Amino acid sequence: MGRRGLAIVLFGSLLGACGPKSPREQIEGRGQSVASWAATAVMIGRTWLQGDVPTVYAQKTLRSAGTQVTSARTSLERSARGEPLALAAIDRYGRLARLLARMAAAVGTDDRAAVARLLAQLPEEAQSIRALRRQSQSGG
Amino acid sequence: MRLFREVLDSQMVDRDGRQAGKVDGIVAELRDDGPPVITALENGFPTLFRRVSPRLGDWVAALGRRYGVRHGEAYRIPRSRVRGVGIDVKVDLDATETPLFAWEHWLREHVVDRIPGSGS
Amino acid sequence: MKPKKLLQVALGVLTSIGGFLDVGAIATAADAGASFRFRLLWVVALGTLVVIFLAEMVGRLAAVSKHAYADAVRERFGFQFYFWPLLAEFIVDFLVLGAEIGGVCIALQLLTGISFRWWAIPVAFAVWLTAWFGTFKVIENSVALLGLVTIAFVVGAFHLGLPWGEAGRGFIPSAPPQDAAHYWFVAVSIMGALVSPYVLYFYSSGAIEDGWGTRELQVNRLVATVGMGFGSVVQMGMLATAALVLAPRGISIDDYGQVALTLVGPFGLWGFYLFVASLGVTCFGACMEQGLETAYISSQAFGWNWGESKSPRKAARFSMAYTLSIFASSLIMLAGIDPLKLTMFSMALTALMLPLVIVPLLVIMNDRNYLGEHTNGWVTNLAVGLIIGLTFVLALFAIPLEYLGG
Repeated sequence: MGRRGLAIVLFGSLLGACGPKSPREQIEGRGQSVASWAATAVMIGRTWLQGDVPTVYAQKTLRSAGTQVTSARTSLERSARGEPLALAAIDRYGRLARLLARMAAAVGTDDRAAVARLLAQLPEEAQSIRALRRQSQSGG
Repeated sequence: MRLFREVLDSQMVDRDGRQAGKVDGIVAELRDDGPPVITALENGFPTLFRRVSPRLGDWVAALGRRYGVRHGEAYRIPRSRVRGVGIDVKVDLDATETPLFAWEHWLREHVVDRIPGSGS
Repeated sequence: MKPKKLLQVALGVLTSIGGFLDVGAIATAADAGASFRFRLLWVVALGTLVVIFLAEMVGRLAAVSKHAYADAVRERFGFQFYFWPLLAEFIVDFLVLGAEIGGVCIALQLLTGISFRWWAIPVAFAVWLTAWFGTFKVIENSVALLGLVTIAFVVGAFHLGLPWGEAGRGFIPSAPPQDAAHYWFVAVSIMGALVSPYVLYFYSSGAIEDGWGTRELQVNRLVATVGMGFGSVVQMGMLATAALVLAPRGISIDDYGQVALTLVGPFGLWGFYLFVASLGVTCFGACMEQGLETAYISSQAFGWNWGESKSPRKAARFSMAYTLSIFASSLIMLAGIDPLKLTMFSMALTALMLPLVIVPLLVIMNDRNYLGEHTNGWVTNLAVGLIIGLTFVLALFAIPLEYLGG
């Protein structure tokens, strides 16, 4: 086998090991990013209420957080195939995305009370997303 | 023979100390009674890229014939014009009057001079 | 040391810091800190060591042999070899410059809320305008001076209360606690960001433009060590603020909007603006250097008349080269490619191409025809060669794993 042959085999086996992802793997992989976005929203919400970040920034970043979570949800929907854990995650991601969108809107209208209220719900959402991720990791 | 390696790919500098391209190729004459002798230095993209791959060189030459300011031709500097070989190769000519500066002049006239602030 | 020489050293140090800190440094440090706290500090230290060695080498090469780095590689190895590193460098430059422009665009997006895509052309235009009208030294020094704002990261890290024990342990290489693939990918990207060939090409061209000779060897050593060393301290500050602000909250880096929070932690609203300024200024400076560097290597590869101190009309091909590269790269941002993803990808790609650029340099640095009595010592050869080799092997595995998610 030539050097090129070896390279093809190596690359091929690498590709083979990383085929299309199962819902479980997705919850593990993208769940990390979703949980991180939830945590980001918490920090942005808190600092915005204290006047530590500008409104344009807070609104824009919360919006893109919502978009990211929605895209994670969409790709999970495509591969869920009725698996209970995946369905639970889809539901959670959807709730989080709605929460983030509402928060972005509240920041935009300078509705501090609403932001504070939504902010209070975030840690619980983040908690359950992390729990789902742990479940998918343990294979339970 | 050592001279080939020393000259090839060196910077050429003209009479007035201008950077005048690199030695992209060497034209040598084979002799029966001794080592080959350098007769000229060559500069030009076709010569240069032919060294990477003949096909690439031909392609560059075709492109040059079609669109290039230098018409895809290599420029030859006869050995008699070569003055010294040190860090740079000194050539006894005014580079601005040769194809070595054809692109420089074309770009200056057609693009650079039309943009404000290009200096003098 | 005479006052004039001292000034030369000070300016050199400043510009080295400027060259060192860019979009890659910020993104990789933030990712490392947020995902792995202080555990990747050793990679920053190792990369710094290598880049100090390498900057000193290209400076020495310029001072002793009067050859810029690109000049020397073509001459020593012939164009049939040099074509490949040249091609690789053009590709990487195109992507990295895109990422640097993206950094400035993101800074403007953070400030105004207007999407980075819309800033691509205005930013490219501003960069080009500065290169076209400005004289090199003035631009370089003012950008470098403004770049001192990045010290905020170091101050911030201390302000937050640096856990000395944990940070200290970060300097000892260790295996990742979890997520090994990402750990090594970030490690490789840090190396790519630190040991970026463009900084070396740029440094070497600067030394030629300043007409360095053997008398500058001492200045060269000092500038390379202090400049790059200082830049590294700032990068460590970035890593530390990310480790102290983002990691405990469970924030990992998917977007520059998250990186902006690193300075909000210690400084509040001021921190936000300090971050925007740091990102904007360092990336703007890097855009200039990157654009000019592409023009330098084109000119040195093909023997054109070059120099930023020449007016555009005195160096038409040179000035067209940077014009073209700046606007071409801005198209990547205009197309809306995610700047953070582009940054991480192009840093990793840089790591992959390092041997192609560094090994020829090492060969030349041991060639008495170029360096005379100033050739490399064996320790330098071994250390740099080994680290570059390891980085390459790691990159070979880490990049596919990161993108195919093994």
